[in-house]
Amino acid sequence: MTTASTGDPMVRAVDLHKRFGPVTALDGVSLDVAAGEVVAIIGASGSGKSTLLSCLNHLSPPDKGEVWVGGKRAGGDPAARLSRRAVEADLRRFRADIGMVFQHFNLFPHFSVLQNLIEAPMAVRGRSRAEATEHARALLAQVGLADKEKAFPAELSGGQQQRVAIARALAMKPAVMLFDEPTSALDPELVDEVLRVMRDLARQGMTMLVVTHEMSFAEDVADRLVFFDRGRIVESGPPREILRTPQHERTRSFLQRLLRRGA
Amino acid sequence: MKLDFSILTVVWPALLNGTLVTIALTLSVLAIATPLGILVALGRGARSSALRSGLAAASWVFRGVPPLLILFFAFFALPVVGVKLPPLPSAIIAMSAYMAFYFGEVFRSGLLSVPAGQWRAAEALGLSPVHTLLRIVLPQTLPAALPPYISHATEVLKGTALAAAVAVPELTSAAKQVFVVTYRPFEILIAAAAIYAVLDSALLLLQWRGERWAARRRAVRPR
Amino acid sequence: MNVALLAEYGPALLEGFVTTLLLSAIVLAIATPVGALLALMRESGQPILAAAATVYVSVFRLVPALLVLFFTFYAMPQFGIRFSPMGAAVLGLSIIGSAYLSEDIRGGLSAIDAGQYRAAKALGLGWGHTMRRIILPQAIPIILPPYITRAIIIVKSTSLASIVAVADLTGQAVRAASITYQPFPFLITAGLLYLAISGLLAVFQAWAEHRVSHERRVALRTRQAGAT
Repeated sequence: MTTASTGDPMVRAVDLHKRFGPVTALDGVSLDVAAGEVVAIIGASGSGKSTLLSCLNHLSPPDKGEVWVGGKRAGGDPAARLSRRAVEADLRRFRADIGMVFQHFNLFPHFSVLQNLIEAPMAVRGRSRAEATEHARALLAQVGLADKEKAFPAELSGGQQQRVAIARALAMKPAVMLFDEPTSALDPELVDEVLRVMRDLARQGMTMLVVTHEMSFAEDVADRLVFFDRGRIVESGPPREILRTPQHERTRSFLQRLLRRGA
Repeated sequence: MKLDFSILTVVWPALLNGTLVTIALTLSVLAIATPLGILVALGRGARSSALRSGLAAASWVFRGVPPLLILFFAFFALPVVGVKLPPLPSAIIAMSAYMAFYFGEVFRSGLLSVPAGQWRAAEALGLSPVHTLLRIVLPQTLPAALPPYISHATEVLKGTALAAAVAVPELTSAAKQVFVVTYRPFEILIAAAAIYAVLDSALLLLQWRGERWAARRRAVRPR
Repeated sequence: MNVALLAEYGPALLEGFVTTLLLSAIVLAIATPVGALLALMRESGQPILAAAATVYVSVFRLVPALLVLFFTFYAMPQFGIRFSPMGAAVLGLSIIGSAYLSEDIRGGLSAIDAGQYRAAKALGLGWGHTMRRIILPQAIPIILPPYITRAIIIVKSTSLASIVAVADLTGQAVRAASITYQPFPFLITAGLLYLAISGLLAVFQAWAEHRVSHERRVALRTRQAGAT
């Protein structure tokens, strides 16, 4: 897979700004991601990388800037002057095309694994129960949890829960997958099973943005590495180059700190 | 004086009628006050600050005043403003009014117990706010809200005895009706107490079943 | 007109208010030590004492308070024991109040770490000494907020006394309302007076809760400091 994009990018973010009170989380971030490209986003905590993901699917809308996914603009065409209700309906459709995987999984604890996977496809996509169930079972098999469809989230290990969460996002047949530190809340021995699922997904050509601290994953799987600092993209390029020969002072010190921690 | 429980073989039809009224009153109040309580809880988290503070004040008033006084208020004051109702419906209105605010508190802490990540996950999947509330959030308030909900429901049941003061022929009132003519208050009140205890225990049994059901569906707390 | 009515019945309402305050104070003064005793009995480890207390608490939490008042007012004379309305109300409300209070107190006692009991035992302290010097001083700040919540419920429950002919605040307000056919001024005045009592107690509770959370933070910090 190459980083060379053909035609329009799958994800286009233009000049995103986001403030939380006095804190500037995003300070003019622009990013294009080609179809099938895997982008790893690294940076210190609080540098704005998680905010970028939630601005991309408008879980917290940016104060300024535009997001396009698959040629569609988040919130519709501003020239159309949609009502707030219409904008919100448009945003729901927009989000449905973007899969999101959270650090703390956020599975619905009162639903079985299978129900977690079929709830949104039935409610949002209007699929029949049979259709949604069939797809859900295929996805569970893909993440190696075919035997767990009747279990409840509380009965699964953290790694299993995160794999279910990935399957839940995939059940919507998204065009893009966003991963917000998907392995940070896991015990070390459970990290690999989740990364393996993500590797498979990348191999199948899924467009992915992954906020992560797993440098070996970033190096092996990502087509591009983006280094974030203080709400800006400081450096961006092939992972190997950035990890071996970082150009920017901040990138260097961040990577050194990471090495010292033994990551 | 010797106790003589054989009196119960004579008065049981009156106690049975009273029991049925007590059950009907309890179920009516629960059926009205539960959805109202959910609305109160949602309203107290609404965007409008006028709605929020208005409901907070109403909640404080209705929970700070004796329930009996609210029953008397409905009984005496509603007719003055032109609402003439028989005792039973006016008791249902009064009890539903204050129970809505007690339940409101229960559901409010239930809603607050659902982690914000659940709203975010549902939003990320494109689920609508109404769908999120009904299918994702409210069901999850159950483990936290069920025990206090049932304990308030037993308060509703025991509280129906107050309706005796405003001429509703429920169990306590029926017991009084028969003991003032038979001069056997002790035996008859023991029987009434036993009936209340059985009804209460039925609710507590429901709670026990509910807790086991909820245990499997408990929230996963991230480390 | 309302002013004239309130002036006429004002003294009666005031008398009712004083009766309500008095009734609340007496009931709390009786129910608190009885409730504490019941809680200690249930935590005592003595099977017979614990069982007796459990039966008492369960029974009186299952039946309506009004029914218990009917027992003390109407049924006791069957055994030749006759109370004044006030006496019957005090007895009935104290029985119910102590059952509920014992649950609140027990909740506070069980919040104390079992290690405290073990440590006291290891030092050779007796049960009484352990309770008095080790457990209660730690439990009382925890018990205080739910205790005040319960106290507010008990104050509100004193209105039941009006049904057994006590001329308390509710009784006087209802009497004036039914004589004059003017329910609003009297019932609303009574409501405001009840709100004043519960409001005052709620303020005290907020203060107590603030103090408890502060003390807990201090305790936690000390514990963490000890751990590292």
